[in-house]
Amino acid sequence: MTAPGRTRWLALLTALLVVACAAQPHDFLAGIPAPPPDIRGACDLATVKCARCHPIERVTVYRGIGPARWAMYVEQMRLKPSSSITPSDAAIIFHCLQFVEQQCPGCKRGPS
Amino acid sequence: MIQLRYPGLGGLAALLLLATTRLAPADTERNFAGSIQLDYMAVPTQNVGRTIALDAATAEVSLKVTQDFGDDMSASVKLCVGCHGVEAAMAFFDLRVADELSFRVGRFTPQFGSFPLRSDPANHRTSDKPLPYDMGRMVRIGEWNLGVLPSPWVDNGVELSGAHFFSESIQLDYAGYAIGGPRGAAGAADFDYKLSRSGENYVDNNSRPSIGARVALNVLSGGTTVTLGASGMAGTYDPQNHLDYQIAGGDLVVQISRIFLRAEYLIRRTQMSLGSDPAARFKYGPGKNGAYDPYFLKQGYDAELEVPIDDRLDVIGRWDGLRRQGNVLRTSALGSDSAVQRYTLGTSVRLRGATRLKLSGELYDFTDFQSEIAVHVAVTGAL
Repeated sequence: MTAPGRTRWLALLTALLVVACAAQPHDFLAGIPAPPPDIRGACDLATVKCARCHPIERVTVYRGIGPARWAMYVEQMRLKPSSSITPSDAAIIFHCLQFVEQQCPGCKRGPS
Repeated sequence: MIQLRYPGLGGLAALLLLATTRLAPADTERNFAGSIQLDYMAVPTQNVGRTIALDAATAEVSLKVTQDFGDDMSASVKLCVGCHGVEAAMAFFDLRVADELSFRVGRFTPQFGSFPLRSDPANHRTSDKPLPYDMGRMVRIGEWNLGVLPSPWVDNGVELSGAHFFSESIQLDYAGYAIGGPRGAAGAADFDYKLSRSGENYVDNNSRPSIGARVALNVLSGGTTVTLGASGMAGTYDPQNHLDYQIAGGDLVVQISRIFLRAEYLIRRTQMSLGSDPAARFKYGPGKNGAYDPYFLKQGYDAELEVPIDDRLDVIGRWDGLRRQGNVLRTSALGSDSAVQRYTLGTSVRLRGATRLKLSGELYDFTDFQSEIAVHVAVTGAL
């Protein structure tokens, strides 16, 4: 690639970074008005941790599976290599997921 | 020894059995997950792209069932369908003694590098994989014989692993494993990925395991995480155990909130069979010492920036490549020092639920061939 080509790529990537930093990040609470502050904190953490390996919607699509399966999922993810999820993080993430599930009473994917 | 003639069907039966068996709910939980990706790849710089790539439409499907047997034991079965047909991508037991010590036995992807953790197409934002891990979607696949270590590399064996948090901000992971290892025919000059697939049975070809290990340090601070990892694998790959290989890799992931910078480097040293008449077999003659060098080096690198733009849209910029140094067979179109660089700009748009549209454009810059452009359009969904 020529030097002007590299410069254009660098400029484009820089512009994307600026836009991204200014944009509202999408998270578990998208579309839920005025969640409690502790839930906001829990879901901010869950958003960052889960996005490390997969899109957030891979989690929200499972709403309705019940607390026992959520607990299993969170534990499975915590044990993934380099998950960066501490045991205390896992409890906070589970707190977020329980709240998100409660906001969607019509979501049913079978008994837990 | 019992050898499955159709291991894919065996895996399918096991998956169905695990999914339909009714167990007492007291201390068992079962999860089902899956993903689908239909990708269309066009090579507009060629009249018929199929001559240099597996272009056009390909489907990747995965179905996974995980069963927990209490807090410390679980079983997972996963089937994948791709260009290679139905394959068992997982069929293993996990036994966890503590966070610092777990055992995995069965058929699994051993821990090597960073990308294989996200190799499911519903987890990464581009349609295809980074070149060091390419498993068949790169342009000039035939000449390059895939990447350095095709991903997801699936093999039979045992893995010991664990993680320890030294504090809330420092996590150390480790893993060590013994697996069947890559395979090649007698008198081979490189791996033959097809020999690892179900059509050839899931049985080791040389009675000697390959061994490998990985260690990774994770430093956490607020929404920022930095992961630095190192991996290695070694063994022999031919039926007579005459041809050895070694693979080493380093990886770095920097996560700042939802922005990711990922970088990986892999290098593989592979021994080639010189045969009875190297002059007739190889394109280049002996070295200055009068002897043929039986080894070639294959390096691969990947640097990727993933940026969320808004609620639905992610943008990805990627620079990756391969380099091969060493003698080549007379039939090869590569030279003694060949390279390819690829520049990718892509986007991933969430459509509805867990369904995404992926678009990407790729520029391939080869040292031995004309440059090529590839365009991908894919729909990906999680089940």
